[in-house]
Amino acid sequence: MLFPTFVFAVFFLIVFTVAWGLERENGRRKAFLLAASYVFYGWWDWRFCALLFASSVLNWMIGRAIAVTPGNAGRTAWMVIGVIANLIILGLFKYYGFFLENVSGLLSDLGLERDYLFLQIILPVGISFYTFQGISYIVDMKRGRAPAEAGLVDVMLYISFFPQLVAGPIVRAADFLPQLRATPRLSRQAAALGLLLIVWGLFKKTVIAAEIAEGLVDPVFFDPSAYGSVDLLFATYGYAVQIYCDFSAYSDIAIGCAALLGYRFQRNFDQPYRACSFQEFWRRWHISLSTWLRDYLYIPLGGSKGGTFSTYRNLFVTMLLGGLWHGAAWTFIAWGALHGAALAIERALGLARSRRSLISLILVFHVVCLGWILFRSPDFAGAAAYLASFVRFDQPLEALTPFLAGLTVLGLALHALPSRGIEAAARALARLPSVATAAILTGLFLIVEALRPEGVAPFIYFQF
Amino acid sequence: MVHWLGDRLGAALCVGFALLLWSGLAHSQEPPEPTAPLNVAVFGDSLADGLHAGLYFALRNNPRIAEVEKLSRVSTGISNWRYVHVGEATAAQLAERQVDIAIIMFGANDIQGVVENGRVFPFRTEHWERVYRQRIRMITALLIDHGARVYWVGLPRMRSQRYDSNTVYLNAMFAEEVERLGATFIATRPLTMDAEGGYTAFGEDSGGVRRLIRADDGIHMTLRGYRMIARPVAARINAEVDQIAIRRRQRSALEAFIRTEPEFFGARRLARDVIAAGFDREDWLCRPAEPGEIEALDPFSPGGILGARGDPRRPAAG
Repeated sequence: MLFPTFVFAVFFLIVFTVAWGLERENGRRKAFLLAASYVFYGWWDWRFCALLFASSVLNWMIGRAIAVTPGNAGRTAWMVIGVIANLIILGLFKYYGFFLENVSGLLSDLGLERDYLFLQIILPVGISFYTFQGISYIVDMKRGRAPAEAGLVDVMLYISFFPQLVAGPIVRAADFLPQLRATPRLSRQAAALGLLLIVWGLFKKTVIAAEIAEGLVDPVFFDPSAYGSVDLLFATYGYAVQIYCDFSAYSDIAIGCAALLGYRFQRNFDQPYRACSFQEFWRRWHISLSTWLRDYLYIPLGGSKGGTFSTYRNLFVTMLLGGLWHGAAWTFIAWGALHGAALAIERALGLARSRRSLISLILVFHVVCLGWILFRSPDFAGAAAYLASFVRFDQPLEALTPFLAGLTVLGLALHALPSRGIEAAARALARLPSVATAAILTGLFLIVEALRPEGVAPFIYFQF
Repeated sequence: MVHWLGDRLGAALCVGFALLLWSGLAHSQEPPEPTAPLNVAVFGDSLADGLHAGLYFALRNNPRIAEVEKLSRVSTGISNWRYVHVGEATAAQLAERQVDIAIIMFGANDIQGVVENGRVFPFRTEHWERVYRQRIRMITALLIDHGARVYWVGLPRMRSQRYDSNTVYLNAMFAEEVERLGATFIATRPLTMDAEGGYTAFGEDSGGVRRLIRADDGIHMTLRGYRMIARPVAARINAEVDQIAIRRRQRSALEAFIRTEPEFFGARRLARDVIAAGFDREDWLCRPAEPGEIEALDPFSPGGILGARGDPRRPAAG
């Protein structure tokens, strides 16, 4: 079930109405939201629900074991078992084919042919997100940050809550489980913020990202050798805008839907292309993943406490695995390595703490764009062909039009808006009379509906 | 009578000349004159989208191919024309461009009823099949009449047994109907089966390494898979491209003749017949005559050789 569709609109209206009808019965309300989340997830393929259920129950059982085990060593052992179990699930469903293909190719090159168990394992939607949430729950339980008394329904709802289930944000157990214990409330301001985030997300996804993808990014990345340097440059900028507008839109809509149901998620994007350093970029881009990697990978690896070399190694390994998390392909690993190397070099040269300037902003943005070429290309050959074609200065424009160039500039210009503009607008909207608020929001939804092209492409981050 | 005989003689000479030109060029031992590169277009549904990607890369280095255009559209098919009327959409696409080689891949969305005159005819019923076959012929004929060489690409092996048995049924109809019209059916099913004829998600790449070729849904393919099924299609095109180019040029010459030359002893009509018989593979000797032709062949008609003296069978005017 995709957010910007009529089916989801009907689904959410039903969920919203019933959930607030059960406002005074929090237990039944949570059970209803859990059932709704499974309907939402089963809409792709009902068989995925079994894995989601098994993953949730497994994490709850490990969490209970951690809660009732007295000694630290025993709790640590349970945590390790839980993390490994989650990684096995993720590895089997997401990386088995990639691993097998590379191993068989390598051994074939060495003349060591073997009979392998070639299985087509279906990648369940959102598995990377809910597996990381499961790990977050187990580790937070071990660290004593998650409520030890959380019941099965609470843990299942935390892992499968439909707004964030398939493409994040990656919600922390310590942030979300306490919210489930309290009776939710919906203020005028929260409702206004939720609705504004939804309409803003729809605008970014269905108008900006969809148009740029179809008209510019997809054709140029399909065969970069057919285009000249200006088309390639704008397609790279276009993809930077597309992936930001696509992914941040999903997060905005997820945060907005959760807000309308009475729950609060942390913001996931904060105008990332305003970053003047790579460290700042990762504090603004996919914040829930970067903080997850920091808290559950970088710090356990030793963080910056083990000396200069260890710090750089930890940064690099964290980003490398962060790249692999995005997909089972060498291009994603290379993308992670690029960011890991950039973070390490920046730290080594002391640039992260140096004075911010327009030059550093432009430099960071262009290295990030270089990473997007790797991220978007189907393989290394595609990325190499893309980069090699940049020298074709004499090629006339084929894909770029004034409209698409304008949309790309608009997508970048969004970063010049006030940082907390949506929140400020929601506060202002909440102060207006209800009729005026409703009229403005309805008008905004209608404008987005009129502007958007026919059909909806899936969100980019569904594949991860 | 002299006029009538002259007309027939001129017509016979024209036919002879056209056929001589056609067969002479086709079988000439001389190296063919360079012809303009050909336009390839891919029609169909989401599987055709993927096939287009595979063909694009398979044909990109062939200097005889100008471009490989994607005219396919996801979620379309031949049975349900309420969403997109593929017949009309294809005609509209052809009106805007010259397509020399047409690749068609439909069927993945066709396991549903057809609607005719407000009535729904369920999948695989007798009437459904009649309408479906007629639509296959209609699309193929549309492309042939346009002057395109048509290749219809069959559906691959599907993971679901039930779905697969339906694709076997559809493939059989595609092959039968398009080959009857002189088009070529290219099967992809053998490429997507294991040794026992079952579904396999893996296939060997050109280096002999087993790679994932099918998408998670057991219907679509990975890019590698699309490249794999595009290979035999590209091979067929590469093998026939010179012949197609020559026929394209001959047809263009005849079309230009029809457009520009004045009617001379029925030569334009004959040129049309040559196109129909030689290029569109219509049985031109048995084609239904147009009203004007019936009149022209009637010696007593006003335009006939006896018409000027009046038709004794008709009352005099006035």
